[in-house]
Amino acid sequence: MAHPEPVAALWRRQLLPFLPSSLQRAVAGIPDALACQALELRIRLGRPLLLVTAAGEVALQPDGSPAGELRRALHPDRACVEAFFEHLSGGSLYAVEEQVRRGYLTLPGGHRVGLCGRAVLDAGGGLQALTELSGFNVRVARAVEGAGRRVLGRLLVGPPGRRRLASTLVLAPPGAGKTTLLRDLARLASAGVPEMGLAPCQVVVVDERSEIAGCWRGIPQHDVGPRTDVLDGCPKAEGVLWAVRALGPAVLVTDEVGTAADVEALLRACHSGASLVASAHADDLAGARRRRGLAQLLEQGAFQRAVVLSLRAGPGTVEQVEELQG
Amino acid sequence: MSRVLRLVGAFVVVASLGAVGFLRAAELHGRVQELREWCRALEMLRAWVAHLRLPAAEAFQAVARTSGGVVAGSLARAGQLLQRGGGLSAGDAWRLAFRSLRDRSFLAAEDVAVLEGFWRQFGRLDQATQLKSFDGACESLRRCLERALEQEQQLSRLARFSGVAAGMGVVLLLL
Repeated sequence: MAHPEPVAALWRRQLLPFLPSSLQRAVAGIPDALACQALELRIRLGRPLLLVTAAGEVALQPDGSPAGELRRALHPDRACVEAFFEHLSGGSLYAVEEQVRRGYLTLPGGHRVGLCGRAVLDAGGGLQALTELSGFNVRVARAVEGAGRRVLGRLLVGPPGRRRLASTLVLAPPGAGKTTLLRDLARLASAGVPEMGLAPCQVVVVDERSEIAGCWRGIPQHDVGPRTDVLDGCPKAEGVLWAVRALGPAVLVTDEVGTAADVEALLRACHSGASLVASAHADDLAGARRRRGLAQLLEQGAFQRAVVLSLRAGPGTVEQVEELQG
Repeated sequence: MSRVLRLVGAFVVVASLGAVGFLRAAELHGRVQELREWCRALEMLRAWVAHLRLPAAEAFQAVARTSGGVVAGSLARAGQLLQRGGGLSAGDAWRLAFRSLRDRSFLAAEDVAVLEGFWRQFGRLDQATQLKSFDGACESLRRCLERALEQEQQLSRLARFSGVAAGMGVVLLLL
């Protein structure tokens, strides 16, 4: 059996083809021990190249070694930044225009590149385009298989032999592992967990920001299970109703709910019989109840379980699994 | 014997200069055909970009499959170069691909200039501007095509006739 590729090698191999030569040299030269810990790579025009890890940031020299001080780090120039964007867009700005407008692009492997530049507004004051790109935040994607198993037992409902995933709301502050948990729950529900009495079922992921499945050219870059359909880049409110109408899911997964339109769509989806698994920004259940949209969902019994995550002992720390009145 | 040699020589001279005239006529016709093919290819590419927003590499391959000659060759090659990565822009990829096939192309310098101007911007524009760029390039190519058709009508017969006539003239002078 082939050994899985180490994280340090994998993200760099997936990122390197998109980098111009000067950045390729720097990224390829990052010591493995450091590359393993990478959370983000910050590329800014005329400013130091930074690798962000859980322990802090490291400025990188042109050969990829830690710079020690910022002035010794590689400072990408205009040509480098433009070439990077050219590679990211595959020489087809028109094809990624919508993603650019949303502020990020997804790469193979599910890594996301956040964009920064000068905003161009339309007549109504809305964001029409982003020009003069000056910064990129490459967020290294990591699927943490097993993240869902720690809580799965407490998220199952129904009689033995016919158990199913309860409608679950995952609450956490940013960076605490909401998306990772959603992804793993989707995978587990889709593949089934016989030892826990969970039969495989049809799953639909409404992935508005391409974060859960990390689709690249239509192919999920993370394992979201063999019976999972992904509505990629689709606005949640429309995607949820579309999924219910057209794809017949037993489990419907989406992230970052909160707007009035999301709430209305999720409430309508509740009546379809599908289990909803969603996430929202909140530190705890009380915080969620203070947010109007989430409060409405909780009051109307859209969820049967709430999982609260924190960063207390690192991303993915499970603080609480609460049984709600469904 | 010398009369036979003279006849063979005269035939060779007339045939060679006649062939030059026919080749020139074929070039004129080839340019018309190639310009028609480019107009059609750009219109198809425009449709892929407008309706499916297909990335350049895939759009090039898709159009190449339904085109012929230098158009198909250059688009297929450009698509391959883009898929291979290495940081080429769509315009650079097309230029490289077209350069490798230039000796098989009948396009005049003005036609190539229109295409190069179009490809230089390709992939660097938002969709609305990209579509306008398609329209502008198609319009310019159609004008090139009109001129090429005029030239073909005016010069094609002349080129064929003048080749043969020049050959006969040379033969008469030598005899």
